[in-house]
Amino acid sequence: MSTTGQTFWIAPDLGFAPPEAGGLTPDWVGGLARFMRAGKPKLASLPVRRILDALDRASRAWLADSPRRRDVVALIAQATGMSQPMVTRAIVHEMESSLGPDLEAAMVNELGNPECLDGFVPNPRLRGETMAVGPELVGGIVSANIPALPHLTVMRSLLTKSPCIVKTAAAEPHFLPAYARSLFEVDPEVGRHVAVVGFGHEHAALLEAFLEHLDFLIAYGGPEAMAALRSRVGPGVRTLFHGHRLGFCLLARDAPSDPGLAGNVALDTVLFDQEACLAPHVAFVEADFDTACVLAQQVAREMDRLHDDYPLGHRPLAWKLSVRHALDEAAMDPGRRTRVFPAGSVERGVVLVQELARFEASPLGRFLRVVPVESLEHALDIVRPLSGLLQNASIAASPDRRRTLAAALAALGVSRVCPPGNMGTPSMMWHHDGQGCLAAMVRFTDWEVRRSPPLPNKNS
Amino acid sequence: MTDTPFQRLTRFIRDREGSFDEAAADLFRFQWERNPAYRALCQARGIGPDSLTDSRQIPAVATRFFKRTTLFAGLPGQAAASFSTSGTSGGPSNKGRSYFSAAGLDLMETGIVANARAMLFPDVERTHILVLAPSPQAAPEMIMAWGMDRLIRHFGTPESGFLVGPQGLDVPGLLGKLAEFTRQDAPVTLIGASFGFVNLLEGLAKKGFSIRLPKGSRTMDAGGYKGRSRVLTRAELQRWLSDVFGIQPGLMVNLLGMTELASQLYDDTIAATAAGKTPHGLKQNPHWTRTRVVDPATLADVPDGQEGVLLHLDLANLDTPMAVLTDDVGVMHARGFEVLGRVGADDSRGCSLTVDELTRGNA
Repeated sequence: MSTTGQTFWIAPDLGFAPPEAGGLTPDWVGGLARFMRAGKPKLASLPVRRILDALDRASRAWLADSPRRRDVVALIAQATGMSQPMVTRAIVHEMESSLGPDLEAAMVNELGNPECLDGFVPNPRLRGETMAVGPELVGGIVSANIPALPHLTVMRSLLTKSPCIVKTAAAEPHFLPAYARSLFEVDPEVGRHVAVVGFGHEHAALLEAFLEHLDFLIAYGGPEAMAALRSRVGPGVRTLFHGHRLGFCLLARDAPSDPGLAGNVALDTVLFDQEACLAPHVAFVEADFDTACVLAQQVAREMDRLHDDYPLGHRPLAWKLSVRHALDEAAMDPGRRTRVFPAGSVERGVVLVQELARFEASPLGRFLRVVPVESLEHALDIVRPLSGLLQNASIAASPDRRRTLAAALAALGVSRVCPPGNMGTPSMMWHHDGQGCLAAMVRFTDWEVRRSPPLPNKNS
Repeated sequence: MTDTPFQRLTRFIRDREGSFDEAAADLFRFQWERNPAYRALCQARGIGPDSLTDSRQIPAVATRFFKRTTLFAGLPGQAAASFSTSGTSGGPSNKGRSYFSAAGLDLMETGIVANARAMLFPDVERTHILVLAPSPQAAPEMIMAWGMDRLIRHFGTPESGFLVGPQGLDVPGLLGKLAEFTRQDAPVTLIGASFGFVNLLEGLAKKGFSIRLPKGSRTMDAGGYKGRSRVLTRAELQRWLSDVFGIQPGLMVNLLGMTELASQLYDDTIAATAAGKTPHGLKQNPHWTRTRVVDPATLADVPDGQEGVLLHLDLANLDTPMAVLTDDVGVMHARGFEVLGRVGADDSRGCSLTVDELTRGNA
């Protein structure tokens, strides 16, 4: 399945020859893109229900333990450094949230009637009918941070009846080819419209060939990668860029007493080793320093406990050094009170209680800052300068307060609000980065059957 | 009259009077007492002069803090000199600064001379020294220029000098001096930054220039090629030095120097060759320094042969923290240590925000 330095998947009966042993070439990638694009009418002719059913069955295939899943888990763990139990959890979470009913609900949420992709469907509000048409060819450039997340790009493409070619991340090239294969196995007519390629940043000619035939690009990555891509995609290509974002917690003084709070905050921090854009960097606590320390100690204890089941995998020296820098930076500022609570040891996780005047990011891994604040409104002031980067916030507060805070967060651009413990597990209906991603991919045609009233007679 | 730490450290470095642990404890107390930011770090780690039992407990300060905090054990206004870092780890705008008192400069000089005598000139009293760097007058911010000037004062001839001016390296001047020294059969020592050598050799090799410098001529290149466009392995540099200048492999030494350290760490090439032994090319610690390879999260030593981050203890660092945690990846071996490069940024992130990006966004 892989050639020198490059991975790929194409359906075995596609009728397009796989690359030669030497690896991918720009000609091959360009040819594949043209070939996949030519398959659009065939994919568009399949009922959307059939596509939903195929995606549902592919997700279910990954929910169950299997030799294939075990193999892929081991490969992903080796490539990313994430522990095998955590990789398994990521796959299970992603698949649990992408079963048929979730996918259908997401379509209804964004498109109204999913069958608008099959043809015109009545639209009572329009007093007419609406049809939606997806792109001719979607290109995906996915990241390695959350195992199994790349399948979202495949699902969005197929749900909008668009063939797709997805470029895997060099750091994790294993999941997507295996997922594409399983989709092909459950329904070849659907799975045939997915191709997976993999090549490094240094292959500029391959990237150019990849981008040339797309009319829609979904890309994940950091600011430099996003800026570079923006400058390379053609003017007619529509895009969905998922750049870097962050999460945080707001824990109010008036929150109903919750013995599970520390465990939930710990879970949000530990899940996927904080690599998701949904993971919290900071928990703002409406409390004095000592009370915040009590909570921090409990969170550290819970992180320690979670480590037994979901150990932190291998982390690079750069991460270890950034943990050291974060700890020492706090210690070397005599003007601010700080206290460190390791989750057993700093290698297993850290909760750092710190008085902060401005937002400081976490080195991630499992590193949470607990920041005592006079009021959560002050916390909002601290995060306000980052409003373009805020993704997710958990709130523990009384119902009235929660509503007020959620509205303030919405105004700051936070795209998701949830209770502690749910930060890492969004529903399929979540507006990722605050956008309707399926709606952004299609073009609607509205057929208005209502006749306009006749123009008034000029002479009457 | 009682001794000052400066006097005791001078005797330790110059005359080996006392033990490393005693001298380190002495210096630690001095720095702990005079540097509030450093004291705060020590307090966070639960280490003070009275609880110290082993020099390895002395809290190390990461190089990045030299960029953000004034880590000077003297009083404001007491600094006799300050040097800025090359800024390679965070871009040109992220330069650090190291301050030195007059005593601190003296102690640094004592270390430079003792170390050069052992590692660069074990077989030489005085020689021609040509420096491929600006003079301290032209580049007062550059610690390397200051150190090389000290080498010329202690080991150089009147014909020695600096060859980088406002227009860059004076290549005709250099070649003229090399030709003259060769005619006199007088050995010459070329010293400069590693990347400076690379640029020079590349230019000369292109022109087909080569010269056989007199026997005993040697080179000392400092640093690596941090973030520079041209990447060259040590073996390639040595081949070029041999082809272009005719330097013998046993007389090419590399030096690890940092603005945050008063001392430099040479490899053993020249010292071993002079002693009739086979050099292994690993970096050596003079007796007033110690280098550890650590896991930066826990600060525990990693086993020999495994990669970790270099942590240096330098008792010639009078004014700034003597224990420095670097961004350098290294490996400890039985006979010295090896520098492999910089700790790389983790590029495996997807949609999660990294600290550096956030810092940049807020800068």
